[in-house]
Amino acid sequence: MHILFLNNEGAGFADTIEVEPGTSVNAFFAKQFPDRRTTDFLIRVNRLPVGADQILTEGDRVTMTPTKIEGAVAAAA
Amino acid sequence: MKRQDALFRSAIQIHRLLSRYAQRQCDPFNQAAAQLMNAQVLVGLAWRRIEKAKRHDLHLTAQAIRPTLLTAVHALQAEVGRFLGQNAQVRRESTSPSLFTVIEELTQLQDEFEHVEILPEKGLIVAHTEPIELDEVMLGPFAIKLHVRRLENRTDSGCFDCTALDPNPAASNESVTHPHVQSSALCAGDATAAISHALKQGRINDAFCLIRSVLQTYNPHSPYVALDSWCGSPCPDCGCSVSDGDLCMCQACESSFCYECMSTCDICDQSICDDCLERDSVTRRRCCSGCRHTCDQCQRTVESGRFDPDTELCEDCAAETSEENEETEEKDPIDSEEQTQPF
Repeated sequence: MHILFLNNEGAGFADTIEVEPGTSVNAFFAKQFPDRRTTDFLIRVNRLPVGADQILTEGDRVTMTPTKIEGAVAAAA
Repeated sequence: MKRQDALFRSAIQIHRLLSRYAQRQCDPFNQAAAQLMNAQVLVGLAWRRIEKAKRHDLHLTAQAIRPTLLTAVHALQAEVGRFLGQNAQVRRESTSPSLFTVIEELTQLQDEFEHVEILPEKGLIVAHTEPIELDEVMLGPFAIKLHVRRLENRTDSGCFDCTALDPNPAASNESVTHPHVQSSALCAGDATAAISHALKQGRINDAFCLIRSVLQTYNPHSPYVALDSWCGSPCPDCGCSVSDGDLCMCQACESSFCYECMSTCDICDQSICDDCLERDSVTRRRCCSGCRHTCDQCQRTVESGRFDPDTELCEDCAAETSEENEETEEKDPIDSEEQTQPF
């Protein structure tokens, strides 16, 4: 099945990707962000907060936004 | 929802401006290449941080940054795939977001933040963060302001202002209200590319959330003012903030400086700031105003132990003058006698 994945980590991208039916939010997260913790991300499915064990369904819109991102000093012009 | 609703009117503004912006971004190849380069830059940044940590023997830190590098490489890998298939992909990205998407985003924004103001007449969308505390420094809540009209010419963090609502600015610079905010402008750092993508695609809520994430994080490697010198008083010499207990008073000018900018007089050992010390160019010793003099002849700074107070000359000039006097006396004994002889 296909879901729309909006990844706000790094360069950020939005893409339709294929996942196995029955994939939970937790499993999907682990595949996308190995070595990262779900607590460090704002995870929304169809714009709503979800539990880690929620099963994704066809056409879901999944957004993952890190809650901690390092800023910097603006580069000199 | 009625057409007069503030949310609806703002959504129309955003939709119109992003559509115009998308029309101007007409080169899909360049667009895809730019995204690829952004991802590559993030890989480079993560790698340089690891290298820097290793250089400073911070091996645990270097280890901790590895997941960041891994994530950046995954993102790069995804961008490479997108770039190679850019004909299909970019066509989708270059289209502007639908009005419905923007309305949904603004609606979600009201759920994600407790306080949201949508002000179409001012071209502003404002969301307030919770009070932010970083490394035990309370910075207070921030208002994240999207200036909608800026979307006509740019889709990056420059469309936003971050205003401290209960400011606790750095002691050394009042315009710095957050380690990564100066004059209300946020330097988004690692979130730069993601914010840009979110705005281009009309994901207004995501852009706000990304900015909040930056505000909630401290990057000690690149702050405008470091949090460990946030409070206290600014050193008048180097400008860095130091706690009042770490200031040291110059015994000459009575101003207070940080330890880095303080020195001691090599003669009397008093704590003196760099500006109040002068070096004896012969002995190379630094002297405070009480321990130095200026030679009347060569005009150089002389430490007090090598200054002749009777002649007001340095040792060398005093010696030269003395020799000259002796020579004069030896050469012209008659003249001298003549001069001293009475009529």
